Amino acid sequence: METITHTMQHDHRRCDDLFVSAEELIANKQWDEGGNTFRNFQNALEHHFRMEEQVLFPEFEKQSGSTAGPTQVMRSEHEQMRELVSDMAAAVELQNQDDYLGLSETLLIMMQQHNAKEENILYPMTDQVLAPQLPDLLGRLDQVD
Amino acid sequence: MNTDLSLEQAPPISVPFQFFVTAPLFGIVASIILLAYGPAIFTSRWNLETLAVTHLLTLGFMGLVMCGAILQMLPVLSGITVPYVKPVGTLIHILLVTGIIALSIGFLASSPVLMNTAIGLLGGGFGIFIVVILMAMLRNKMTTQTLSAMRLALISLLFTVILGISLLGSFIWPDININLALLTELHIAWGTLGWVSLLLIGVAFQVVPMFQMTNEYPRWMTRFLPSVLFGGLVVWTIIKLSGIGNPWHIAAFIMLICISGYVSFAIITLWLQQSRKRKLRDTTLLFWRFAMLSALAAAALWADHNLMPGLINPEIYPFTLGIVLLAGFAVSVMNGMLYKIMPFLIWFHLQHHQLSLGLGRKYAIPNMKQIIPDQNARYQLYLHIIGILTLVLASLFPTSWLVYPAGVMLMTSFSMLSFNQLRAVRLYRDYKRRLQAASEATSQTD
Ligand code: HEM
Repeated sequence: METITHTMQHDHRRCDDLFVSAEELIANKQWDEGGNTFRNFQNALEHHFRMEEQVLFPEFEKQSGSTAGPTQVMRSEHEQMRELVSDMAAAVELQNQDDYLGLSETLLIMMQQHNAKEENILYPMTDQVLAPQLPDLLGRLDQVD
Repeated sequence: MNTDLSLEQAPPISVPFQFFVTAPLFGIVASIILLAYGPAIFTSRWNLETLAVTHLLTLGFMGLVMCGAILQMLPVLSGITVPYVKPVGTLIHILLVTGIIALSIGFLASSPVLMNTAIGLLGGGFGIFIVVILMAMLRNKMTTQTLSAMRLALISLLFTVILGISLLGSFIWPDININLALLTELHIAWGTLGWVSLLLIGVAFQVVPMFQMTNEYPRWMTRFLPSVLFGGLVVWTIIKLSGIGNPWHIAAFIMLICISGYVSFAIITLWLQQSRKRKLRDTTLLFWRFAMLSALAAAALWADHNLMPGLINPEIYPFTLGIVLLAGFAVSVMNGMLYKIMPFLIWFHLQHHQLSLGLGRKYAIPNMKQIIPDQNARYQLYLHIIGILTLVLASLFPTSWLVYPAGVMLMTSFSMLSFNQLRAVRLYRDYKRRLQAASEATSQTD
């Protein structure tokens, strides 16, 4: 059966793949292609954040009756990642390889520990708490632009 | 299911950092003792100096890094926070550090008073640590493979400490009648193959796929390997203690199964890293590779000693094995991990601080590679590898002068690690102060 854990995990992997390609291209100083791939990554990541911030987290907060719980921490980590990604975009503009690679190293760990918390804790929790409206929810996740 | 789990990047940065920053100092002291005693260190493995060096590494460097890492990782992995983590963490740290100092000086000076003190301090420190962590784990029903391996590692630590304290007790009160050789064998097995290896395996399940973007470890391995290894150690211990099956070498057979498990872990780790998606070759990855090759070398030494006796000199074997397993395998993984965990936590806390003070992006927070430059880490890695290889050679030619260059290189390597850490911590403090000042300035102008 399709679950939130599975769907979202899959989307994490998609972002990971774009992240790795961008980093590798830029490590080889292929700025044109690297820049394009980076922008694809940026869009994929933003899209993933939107799925969570517009659909998943509000539903979860409705069920748990609180916006101060784990979702708040996840939102704040999204902000931290957005900062990194916008610094990376600047590094791409300036073709500053050292900055880009230092930032991407940082983002990698930030992203991976964030994903691990979501995949180990938050998504399974969501699957349980929101079990009754799962099909509807998955449909809405699909429609996030 | 409770939905009020915390997903904070708890605990405060000082909790793991006090452990991380003191750890290499014990590595430096271990190298100095090595230099002071020179080739004499290899005359007998029961020299008190040898025991001091061993425990400066196993408790001083490795124990501190592992305790700090567990305190840091547990909340991230499980969402459960340790209550009163700051005072509790500090207390554990103080007890362990003073206990390790008492133990090493106790060994070197052959002082029963200090050994007795060490029993109290280390028993207290590890006791509190184990209780606190296991209790936090029990409150949490969620289980990942890493967490279950961590739990088995903690139980192994408990056995190791109880055995170690009994051994030490028999030094202090020689009329206590215990089978020293047998209990020592159990102590070493639970310490290295249980506590250290199970923890590293559990952590690897989580971080190897994460940091290098490799495939996941195969499911059979993550599900069964830690419990099979732990169960194997339990059965092995029972057979050893009861003495049954001695004529048929059953204990050695069980150990062979366990060792095959560790070998398969090392091979699969190397293979996953070889086929990783992220092709960049960073320093931590190289530390891991050297560690896994060392694990394989240790297994080969074990096999050579136990299955084809005669190839390696049995007097030399325990030294070579100890160096390869403790320094080559365990220290390397931890050293490499410190280069990821520390700069990441510094960046994370600084940026979080800036955002929560409402400063927007006033200051460019340094990224991980600015916090610890890759070059610095890389030079330390090279020195570490050459130092260990030289020490292995020194153990194979125990009367030679090779132990001196090995000791100098390892001392320098631990000092470089320490320098890289302290530089990073100073940078953290500077930025933190600047952020604080900026926030006060803005609140005054408002
Ligand atoms: C409270 C903690 C500990 C105490 C009090 C302690 C005490 C001892 C003592 C007294 C011996 C000597 C045994 C003999 O001479 O027969 C010994 C040996 C040894 N211990 Fe520990 N130990 C502790 C923790 C550990 C840990 C955590 C490890 C982890 C790997 C470890 C690894 C070893 C090794 C490898 C040896 C053999 C040293 C050699 O062959 O020269 N110990 N320990």
